[in-house]
Amino acid sequence: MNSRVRLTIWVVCGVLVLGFALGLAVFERRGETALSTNEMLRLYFATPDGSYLVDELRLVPAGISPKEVLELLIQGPLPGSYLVRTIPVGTRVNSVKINDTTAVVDLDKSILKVHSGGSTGELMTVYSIVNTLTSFPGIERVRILIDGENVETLAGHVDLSAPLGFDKTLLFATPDGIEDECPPLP
Amino acid sequence: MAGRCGTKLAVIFIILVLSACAEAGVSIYFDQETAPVSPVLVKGQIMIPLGPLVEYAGADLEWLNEEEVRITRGGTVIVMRVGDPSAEVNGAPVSTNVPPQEVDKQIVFPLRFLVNNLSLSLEWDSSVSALRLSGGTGKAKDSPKASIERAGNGDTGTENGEEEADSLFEDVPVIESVRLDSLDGRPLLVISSGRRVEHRETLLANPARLVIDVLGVRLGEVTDLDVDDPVVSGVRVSQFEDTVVRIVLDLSAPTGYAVKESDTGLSVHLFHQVSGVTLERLAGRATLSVLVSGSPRYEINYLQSPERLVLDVFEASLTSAPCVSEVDDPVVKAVRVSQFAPGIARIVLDLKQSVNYLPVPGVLSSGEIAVDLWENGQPGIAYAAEGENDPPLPSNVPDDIGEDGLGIEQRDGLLRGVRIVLDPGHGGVQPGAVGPAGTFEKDVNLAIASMVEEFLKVAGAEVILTRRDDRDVQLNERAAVVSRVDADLFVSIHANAFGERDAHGTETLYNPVLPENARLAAEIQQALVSELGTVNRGTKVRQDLAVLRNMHVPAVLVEVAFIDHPHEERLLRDEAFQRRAAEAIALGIAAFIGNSGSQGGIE
Repeated sequence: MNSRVRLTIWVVCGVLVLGFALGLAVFERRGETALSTNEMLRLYFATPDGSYLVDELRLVPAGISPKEVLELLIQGPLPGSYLVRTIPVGTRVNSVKINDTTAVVDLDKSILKVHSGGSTGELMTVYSIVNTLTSFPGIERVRILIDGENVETLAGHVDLSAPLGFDKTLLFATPDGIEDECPPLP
Repeated sequence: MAGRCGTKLAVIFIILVLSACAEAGVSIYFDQETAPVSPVLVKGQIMIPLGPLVEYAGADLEWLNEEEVRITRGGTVIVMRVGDPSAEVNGAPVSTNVPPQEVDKQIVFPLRFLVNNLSLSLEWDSSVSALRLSGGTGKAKDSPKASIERAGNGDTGTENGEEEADSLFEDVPVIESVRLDSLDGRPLLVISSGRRVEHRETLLANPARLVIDVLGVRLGEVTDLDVDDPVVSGVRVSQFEDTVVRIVLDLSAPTGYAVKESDTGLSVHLFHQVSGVTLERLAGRATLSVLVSGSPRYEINYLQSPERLVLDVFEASLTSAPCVSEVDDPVVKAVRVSQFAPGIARIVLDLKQSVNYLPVPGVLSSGEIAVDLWENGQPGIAYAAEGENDPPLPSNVPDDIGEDGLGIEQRDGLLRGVRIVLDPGHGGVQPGAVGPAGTFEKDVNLAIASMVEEFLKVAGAEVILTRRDDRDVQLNERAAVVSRVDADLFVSIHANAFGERDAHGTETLYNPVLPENARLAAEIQQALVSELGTVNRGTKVRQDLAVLRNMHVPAVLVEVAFIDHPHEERLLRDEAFQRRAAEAIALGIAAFIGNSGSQGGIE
């Protein structure tokens, strides 16, 4: 990596860290309540054509649980975002249990009835969950169950019989490298 | 804003109002309009004539006799008598402290009593030094602005023994001024309180505004600001609560900011706005223009593999949603605009080839950042006539002709000895995706697969389908067919869906466990998009598709088009389209086998 790129990384990271330290939050939430500025999480939503997952940075209260994060994900992107939801409206999360480094997500079976289907729709649903939860500290893989049962797939394509890890290939190929080398956010 | 206060707050509130009446004069607003009434003070109570208030509240007013009046609103009936401090609310006696009485030849009534019992709200709006009523349903009558009639007699005594209320405001800092300055072309709001104060802030959308609550202060002689700024369209100041001053910055769009506390007050720094991005082509150069407010600092980086140009604008906020635009340009593939981080707006150009670039000097002062780009190695050289450098258009080949000019019929014998498993996706109780017009994916998949079979048989292949009718076949059973019949190739045929109407086009998925899978996917994908003219979503590496799991022969999963896209659903229902898709899949398979150099014996 040349020194120019390295410099850029430090500049970008520096501005980021400084920005958060100053509490420069341009984030907002539905309605009139502001978020308390405690933790930064990435929620992954889809581009409108279903080609990519793009993360939406959210400030969330400290101590938010993986289940609550998943429920935020189900609510969809922030108003005004160009991104689109990846999980059908009204999908219920029965539980999220952490087993060592694997999050076991138990979804209500109603998702099977209302899901759009298609490998694209299914990949976006599955990996928005997987990528979002694996950006949670301590979670490396995600296992998806329906009503507590193992299922082969959600809609006939993506193998859910084993835990899944973060999928880089679905990410929008933007800030490549730059983000990866940032120090962890405060 | 708080509509109702606790008893104590109400008392403090009345005291505030009293002093305001005595010192500065107060008017009453019905919502946003000046009320056509002249309030007077009697023994510390604000009294007003009944008519306009009742009309504003949408209540009914009936004089039962010269002394007695009945007011009805909703299910509430109030009866009051002139000179009688005991009123009746729904038949129950309630004390009004100060009775209705004649003042200056008109009969006035206690305002607070009426507000409370008519379910109205009353608040003190210090920015206009007025009491504002809300919650009425009637229409206030237009009238010249009424000015307060002085209560005279200095009768401003507190009530209910709450004399200590006044002391609450001793030693509270006062906001002496609020002014809007500019720093590097960015708006800077300076709030002066003479000492350090605490605050809380909220950025709101629809309409965009930044709300700063300054805590533990009272508002001095400060009024709303009329401002002329592209980012801040107005500044409103009010005493929001007893010791909370609320300052609202109306913004042209949600904009990032920083609030800094100092020993003299607060300063609110607003970010630059990035309000538009354009790409124009002129005289052999593409020019990227970014519209900005003020003169932000920015940085351009050129990144490789893939080639792209990244422009970061610092301390800047996008005023629109992030977006991606595919562009028709010889060197630029797409322009992506996003809020990379709070305070960094990022514009990325995805390039078709390496380019030279140069920021256009001297335009920043005109509210724009501009960068010229041109083809590497050809600085300043005009591009060839439009279209010459464009990639070849999808060939408009006739329906029955492959890329080499031959139809599948001419490939007689090419596929002889090749055993191919076709897998029509879903089936039976698993309809797959469902189109907006109700088309089941399982039916389309079976129709196309059956046609692929016909074409492949013409070319001499042996074809096995995992299902020939509408039935549910387990995914592992579909895959097991390959082993059972010792097949050479597996193609699963699907229609795609996403649930969003923007998704359309063709893609082919494969598991890279076998290196030749990429080539099989590419051949089929290329044949399909050439033949169908659909959007090419490319081939995609997936290691997690259940049906391709443990597949030891070349295998792909084809998504012909999006069945939940209304136009593509119509295409997928159309038999001619199905046939063209089928032939393209067969041609793709044939091209793969033909180029394998091991005809009939793929290992």
